[in-house]
Amino acid sequence: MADGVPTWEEVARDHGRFLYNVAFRLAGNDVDAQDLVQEALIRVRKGLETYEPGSLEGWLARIVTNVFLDEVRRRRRRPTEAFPSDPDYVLPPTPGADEVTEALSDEIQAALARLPDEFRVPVVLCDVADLSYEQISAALGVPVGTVRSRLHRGRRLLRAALSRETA
Amino acid sequence: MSTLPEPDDRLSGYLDGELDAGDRAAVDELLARSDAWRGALAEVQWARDAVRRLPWHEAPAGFWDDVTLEGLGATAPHRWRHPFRVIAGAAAAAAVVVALVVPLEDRDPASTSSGGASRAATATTSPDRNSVKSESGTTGATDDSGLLEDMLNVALDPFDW
Repeated sequence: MADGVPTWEEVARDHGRFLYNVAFRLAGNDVDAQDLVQEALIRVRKGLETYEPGSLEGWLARIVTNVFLDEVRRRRRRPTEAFPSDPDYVLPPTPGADEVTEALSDEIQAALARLPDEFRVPVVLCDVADLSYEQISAALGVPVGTVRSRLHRGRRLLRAALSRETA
Repeated sequence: MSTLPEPDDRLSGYLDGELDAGDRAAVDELLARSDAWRGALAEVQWARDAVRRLPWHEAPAGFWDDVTLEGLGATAPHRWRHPFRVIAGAAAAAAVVVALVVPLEDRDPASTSSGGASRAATATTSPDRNSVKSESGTTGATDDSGLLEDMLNVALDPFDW
């Protein structure tokens, strides 16, 4: 590493797992996640020439998100099951997050994968990649207020979907 | 007595520490006064925590073995970076070739050698293609041989897939 700028090999070795985890949560399956990671690492190689030391994982999350969004645009991704436009209905009692996560991680992942892209991406960037609203705003090119709105909506949709599945 | 606003996206900002001091104080007050706000906060926090506590998802075994600059083929066309797709494409092409070659080998040798002339003669004597019968009695086989040859040539063109 020179001047705080990692080499490509260091990025792949030290941050590959992070990159893959974010890619998987964005894409919802391993096949697409592998493609995303490969393409992202190619862009990382080019990007390192101009990379300025900072939040490396934030930078990586932004790259893999851009790859994902490019792919979404390119493919005009297959339609996903529509979530209700308004999830305002009675929910069962809220169980502990630990209990649910251990028992229902597959269901949570499935519900996450079914979220429309515009809601899933901010949720993943905030709750998986741990980016700030400002970083998400920069990554997606939308105002911070829009990030907060979409994130909130995505969480409510997730909660509603999981309530139906666990009822 | 004023009506309280409905719970809104400030709750997510509140949980994430992304509100300014004014908004944070306002949400604190709403939470203190409203069951609806407290209930909504619990729901959003549940979803937030559920995603945050998802187990780390690992790449399939062997994936990272191929992740090198050379392995990624950074300068190669995109499709060549996916060996499974290339293999599947080659298998599909082979299946097409087999499907075309087998009928060609089974047809009457006489019609094979005469080629286009045979087709012309057949067309002259039998305007209805579907009613043509070869010597072996197979409906349509003789008349389709030229078409199959053309298709085979297309399938074997190495620059066309």
